[in-house]
Amino acid sequence: MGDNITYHSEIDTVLIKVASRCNIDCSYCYVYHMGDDNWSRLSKFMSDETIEAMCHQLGQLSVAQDKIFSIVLHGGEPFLMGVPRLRKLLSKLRQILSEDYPISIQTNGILISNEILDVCADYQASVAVSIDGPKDIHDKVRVGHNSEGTFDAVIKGIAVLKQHSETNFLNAGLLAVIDPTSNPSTVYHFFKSLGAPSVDFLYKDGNWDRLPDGKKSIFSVEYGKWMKELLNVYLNDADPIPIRIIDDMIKVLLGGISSKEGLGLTDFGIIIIDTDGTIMKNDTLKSSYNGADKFNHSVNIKDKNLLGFLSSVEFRCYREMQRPKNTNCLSCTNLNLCGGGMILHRWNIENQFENPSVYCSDQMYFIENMKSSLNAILKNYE
Amino acid sequence: MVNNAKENAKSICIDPTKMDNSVLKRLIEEIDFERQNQVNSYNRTHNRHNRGR
Repeated sequence: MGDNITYHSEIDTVLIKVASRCNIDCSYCYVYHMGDDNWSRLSKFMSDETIEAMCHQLGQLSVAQDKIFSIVLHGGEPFLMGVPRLRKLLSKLRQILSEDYPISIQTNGILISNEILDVCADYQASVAVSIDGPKDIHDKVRVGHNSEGTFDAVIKGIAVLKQHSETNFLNAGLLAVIDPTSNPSTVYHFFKSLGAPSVDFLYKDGNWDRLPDGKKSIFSVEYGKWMKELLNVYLNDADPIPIRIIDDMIKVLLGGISSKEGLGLTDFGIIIIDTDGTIMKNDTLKSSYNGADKFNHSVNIKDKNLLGFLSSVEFRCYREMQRPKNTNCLSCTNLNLCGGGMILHRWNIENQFENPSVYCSDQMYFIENMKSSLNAILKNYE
Repeated sequence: MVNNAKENAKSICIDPTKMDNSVLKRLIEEIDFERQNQVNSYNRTHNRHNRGR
């Protein structure tokens, strides 16, 4: 353990908002369409001054903290920054962080080009693409600023990624937001057909005051049923494409450790560095209320005191937010697996973040079905 | 039987070479590897955040 960082302030992921704008306009986006307007006050891209200061501070963090942390380039759309800015940023990051420190880029895939991928390969930065399923599902929500679907452009980007000479490293998998009205089997087999190394699924953002799209009530289980069907397809596939969220849940049930934010009881230390260098809380909190991801005492990475901030009471309180406090959660037999879910899903104005997840019913339904499915398989090996 | 992680850490000890289910075979192998090599959650995979773009 380094001198300055305690367990309570260790960082797992530094998520960097390298671009504050996006070239598409997904209807469900928590950055632009759920009430937060911070993006509109930011410059489009991270400045050289901010990059310099950030890299210096992250270098200090790597010395102070024994634990390896991940870097995620995020936005907006990170590839909007263009090849020269991307090369400069990755070069600076790799000057202070060895290749033991994973760097990944989350993109909508539209701007993927060989030139961009060459830069990513040069600095060992992998690329994960967001796509929600086949064209009819994807284009319902992931649309351009002209309201037209982006599916065809994303597929072109994925094709370029798959054909790159370094694709085995670069291609980090797919990320999909669930449409509970879709057919899980169709979606799963579509992702298999893309030849991706893995896929992850996310529940739509929402909370008790603003139910996620596709949920009729707090007690309905549309997402739980969808996940149950997906699990059945997955477990019956002789040549499955790994599904990260299901893999992590099964691993916990089998005695392993979860590696995912919003799952299990392992504390997940994440900080967000906004485009102007401001250190923010988990950015998905934006979906709760305007400014929910801001710390009370704003710190900018250019103030050169990241380590001090990570040791502050305010940061500790933020980190402890992810631990569920609701009495139902604390007495729940599935808490070790569910972990109370993502913080943003617990919000309402009355109890703030001290509710169970808005997806509690879905998760309980899914987990109980997962246990039954696993037991049905495992009983043959007792 | 699957109930919670603590119980299963003790009770589930399946030889992955005898597991027919493809998903469980891979995951049991991963759990075994991670235990033997003291791989912690943070360095299992590079992309664990829950947000798309």
